[in-house]
Amino acid sequence: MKKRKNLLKQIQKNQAYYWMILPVLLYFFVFSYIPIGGLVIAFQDFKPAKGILQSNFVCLKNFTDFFNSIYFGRVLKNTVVLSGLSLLICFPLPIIFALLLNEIRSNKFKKTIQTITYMPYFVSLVVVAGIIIDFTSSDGLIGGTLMRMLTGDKVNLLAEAKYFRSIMIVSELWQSLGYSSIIYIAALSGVDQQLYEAAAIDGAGRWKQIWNITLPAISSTIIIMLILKCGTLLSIGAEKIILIYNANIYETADVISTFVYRKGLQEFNYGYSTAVGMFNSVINFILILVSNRLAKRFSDTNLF
Amino acid sequence: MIESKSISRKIFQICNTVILLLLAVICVIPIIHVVMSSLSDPVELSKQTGLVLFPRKISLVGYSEVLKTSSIWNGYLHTIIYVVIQTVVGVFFTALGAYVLSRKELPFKNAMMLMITFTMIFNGGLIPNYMLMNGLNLLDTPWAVIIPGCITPMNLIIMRTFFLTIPDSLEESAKLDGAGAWYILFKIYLPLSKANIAVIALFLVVAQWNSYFTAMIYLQDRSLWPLQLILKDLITTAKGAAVLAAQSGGGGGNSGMTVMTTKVMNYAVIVVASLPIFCAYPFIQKYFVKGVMIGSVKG
Repeated sequence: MKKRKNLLKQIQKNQAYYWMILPVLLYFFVFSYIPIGGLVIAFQDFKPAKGILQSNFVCLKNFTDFFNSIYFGRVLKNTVVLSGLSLLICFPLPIIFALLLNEIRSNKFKKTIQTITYMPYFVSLVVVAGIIIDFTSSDGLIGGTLMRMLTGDKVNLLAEAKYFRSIMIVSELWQSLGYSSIIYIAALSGVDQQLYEAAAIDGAGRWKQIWNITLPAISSTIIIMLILKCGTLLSIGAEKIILIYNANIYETADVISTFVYRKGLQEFNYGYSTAVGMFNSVINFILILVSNRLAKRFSDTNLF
Repeated sequence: MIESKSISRKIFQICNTVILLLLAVICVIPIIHVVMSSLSDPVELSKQTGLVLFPRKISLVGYSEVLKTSSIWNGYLHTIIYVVIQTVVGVFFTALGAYVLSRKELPFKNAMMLMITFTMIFNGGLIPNYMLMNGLNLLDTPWAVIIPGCITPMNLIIMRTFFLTIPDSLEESAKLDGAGAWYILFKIYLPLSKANIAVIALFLVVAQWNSYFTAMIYLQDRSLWPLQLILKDLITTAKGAAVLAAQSGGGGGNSGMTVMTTKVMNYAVIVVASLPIFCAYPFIQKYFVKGVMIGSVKG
């Protein structure tokens, strides 16, 4: 009883705070939680004319339809392969880049390289898509000039399924290599320079110093970033892909989010599209929770 | 022994410098290619394949076509409107929320924090969001673009982390003088947080300036389109190019829009659309790096 009175008193005392945060909480309630409630249509044969309340419930039919369709294997595989490649290539390279940059003694040179390599991160996706389309076309730099040198034939790379994954990875690397390295560069700059001097006196060579001083200093950052990246393994967004893919290359280019977009907003199959999206969200949710739990185990740092 | 070490060290330094220079060159080459192509003569450019590192016969045809095209100006105007409103509103509410979440010993604080961070890892997805916007009659209104992304959990966390570094003693002494929560936030905390406000504001500005997806989903009405969506239409669909050709060809008095001119014009629109971000780039870079650091303390 007394405790309750105390709590009421506390709330009363702090009421200005609650008024302050009210609009923010309302915002999240309306624009995040109501759509989560809207997931109910994943279990319906949803008809826009009937609305959520009148549409028939069909249990898990939308989900089983998806699992049994020929698209299920394809979009799942493409999603996993694309993020897997990104994990293998776009994750380690920024670390190597940060290590190379760390070996440079001239501060001015270092700053210049950083400024230039962060730049592509600020180019919009639409412009990146424009550059990709331009470079990979049969008279572009890569599709035309480079392919003719390598194979003797001009190729429109975006028209052939086998090139799509490379295009995605290379463009991702171009945009994010510098920017993703910021966090490692920051961790490296925190390493005590005296450690290197002491190691040099003890006769440790450059590689030994990197192996025994530099890497341990940033290993916790690396582990956390790696684990968190694993949490996003199935969450490739549609934003970039829908700008550059076409029906000819769905075989490698169609991922879960682009499939959701087409089924929902182009074919107006609301219930089905929502079910596919929900399947993806639930798996992402589990992956993030698991990876976050792991990150917690390796250090004090974690996302939530 | 020492001699050979210093030689191998020198070789490494040289190789390293070359590699980093090469990476920097790869990062800027596509940008240079676009800028130089936009300054080229359409006919000369079409004769040429591969990289364009300096203009092929300097000409401003692309830009003059862009200037004549009303929908690009309209898109520019709308992008600026969306960016300004979203940034002002977003920074204001992010500050309010972050300030409250940075209070110690506030009942239900953790519950509120959980409610907000949960939305980072689970959401309704495309269709439920679309239906909500439809239900609220926000489709084909500027709010459909301004509201999503206005307050983000990440921005709240970054701002909160910063507020937590401001010493409590400041607040306590103000309280003794009878200052309320609003006074403390606006007269003490925010004036101390200018750099942090800049971080949040720039995150919002760059995200909104560069986004096309929200607008594509929620806006059918072309007159409301932001610049990036017009650019997307121009680059990825034949229809987009045709619409622009009709607009600029009419008033120009030249022999109409050829395929070659369209191509140069594409480059010019890209440059025009990216220019503001790159003019502010040194500023933006500085604060983004700061934001990544603050974010990584907790994230």
